[in-house]
Amino acid sequence: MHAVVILPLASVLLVASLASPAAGSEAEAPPRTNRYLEAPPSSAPAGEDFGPFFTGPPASETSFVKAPRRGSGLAPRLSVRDGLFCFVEDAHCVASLLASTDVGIGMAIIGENGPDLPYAQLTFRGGFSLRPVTLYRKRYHPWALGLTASYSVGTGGIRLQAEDVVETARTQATRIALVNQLWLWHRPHAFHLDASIGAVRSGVLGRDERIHDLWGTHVELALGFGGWASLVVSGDFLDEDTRIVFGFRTHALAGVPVAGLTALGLWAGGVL
Amino acid sequence: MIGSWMTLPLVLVAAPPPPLDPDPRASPPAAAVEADPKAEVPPLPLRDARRAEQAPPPDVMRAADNPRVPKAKPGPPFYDAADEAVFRARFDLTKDPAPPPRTVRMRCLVADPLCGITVEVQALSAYALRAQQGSVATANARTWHSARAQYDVWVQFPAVVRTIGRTRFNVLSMGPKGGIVASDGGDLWANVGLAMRAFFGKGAFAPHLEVTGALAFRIGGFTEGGAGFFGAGRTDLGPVRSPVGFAMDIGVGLGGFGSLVIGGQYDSPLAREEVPESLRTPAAGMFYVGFRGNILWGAPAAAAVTTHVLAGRLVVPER
Repeated sequence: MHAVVILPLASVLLVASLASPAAGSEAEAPPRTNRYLEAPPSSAPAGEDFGPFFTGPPASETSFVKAPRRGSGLAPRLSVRDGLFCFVEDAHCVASLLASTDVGIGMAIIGENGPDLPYAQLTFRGGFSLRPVTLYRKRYHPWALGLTASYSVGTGGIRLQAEDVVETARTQATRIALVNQLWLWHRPHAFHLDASIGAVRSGVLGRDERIHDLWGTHVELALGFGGWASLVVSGDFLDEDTRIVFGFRTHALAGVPVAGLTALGLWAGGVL
Repeated sequence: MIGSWMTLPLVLVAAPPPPLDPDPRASPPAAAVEADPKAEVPPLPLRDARRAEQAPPPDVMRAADNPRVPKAKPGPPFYDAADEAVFRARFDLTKDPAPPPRTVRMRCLVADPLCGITVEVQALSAYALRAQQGSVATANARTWHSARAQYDVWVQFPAVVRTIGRTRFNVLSMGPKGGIVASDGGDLWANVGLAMRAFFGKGAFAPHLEVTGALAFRIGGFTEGGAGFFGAGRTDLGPVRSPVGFAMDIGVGLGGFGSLVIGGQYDSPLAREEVPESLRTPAAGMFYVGFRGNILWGAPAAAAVTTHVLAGRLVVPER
């Protein structure tokens, strides 16, 4: 649980340490913006690429009326130095904070120990991501690597013992995972594919009717819509307990108000 | 024939070179400068040469002022505003080719026909008529009056746009959504699905139609002695299991601010033969009518919390 809080803080410190040498090396002209922001060699204006050859937009090109934003048109919102560090990840972030909540439904598969039952969980995730190639080549690259930690609470597990059903009240799990992220294009709110692999530690109901904390494998595949939402398929593979979940993930900036308003209603309603 | 081909290179070699266009970057010949000692002809760098090509020299007479150039007359090839109006009317074009659009409202945090991609947090407060299947043997069902509060995150991508001039207007947008549903007795569901919004106009308060569909599933509820959701509380609220049901609704509203919504939800039963009796759950659901809107302008969030509180205080669920 502490890792969820510590990792975002660590990511901020790490990125600050990465950003400092960049600013120091150009002491005579300190960059006010993200120097990695430049798109691939292109004649197109910033933020507008057309076709496979990144030529400029045609004269007839149309656009939505954009809300005024400072800095480059490519610069992600809610970021430091035009995307050098983003609080909400986007296509042109060199480093990003990953903070999200998600809800999911799936199946808990316990083999011969009982029937496979629906399994729902609520997850809180934190971490950070970096663009290694972008940092090395000092130009845009769609590949990002991240480290996340998450905590989830889900519906309880069961085990059939003779004719009796043994249940747990809840299933708690903590995970740490390496995120392999590929951004599919480089305009704001681009889609991205996230493949994560890591370890999960969670309680599994044993034959002695006690909960045993076990280590297992955690695998996840997500389709992300900018930094605001993702559709997620994840699996926790533990000994005689496999949990496959399909869910919706949203950034903490949107998810925390949702959770907070719900908790407020429960508390003021006398339920919580 | 062969002889003519053989003589071709000689002809090419002997032909005088074509006259070259004067290079704007080159300095004028010395004779020209001497002819007019007042002329200032600095050597132009490459960047300035292009500007010099576009800007007419100050001593060149404009074509309109030249008496030898015929004056414009009505009719082809001289067109005026009246001709353009006729042309626009012929092809059903607007009178103004590019009306200056109004400014975007609230930086697109509230959906607007002028916005492309939007991220919204929606709150629904609704009256709900809930139902739950009773014993299969007696074929009865329990119904009761309740309320529904729902908080969803929507990410909307423009799918159909209308273009006027160079401005795009959002006509139909759709995207993923998910969130939490709450009702009486601490019942909590989560939902994962799709939302769609169609704007019928371009104004800030253009009417819109919203349609959502989602998988809905229980995530919390009354669990006696459950020690809270996270195992450290003194409440009977905790995780509750259910199969996947679904929820759908349709809303009509104005400008992305809010909608009047009617919808329903169905909770699938968990009643497989191999599932022990104590783990089974009956079919259930609700119809609901209410108001949904973006929480950023306050009223929808306040209404949803109030609805949730009233459901918790006034509706007494049967256990």
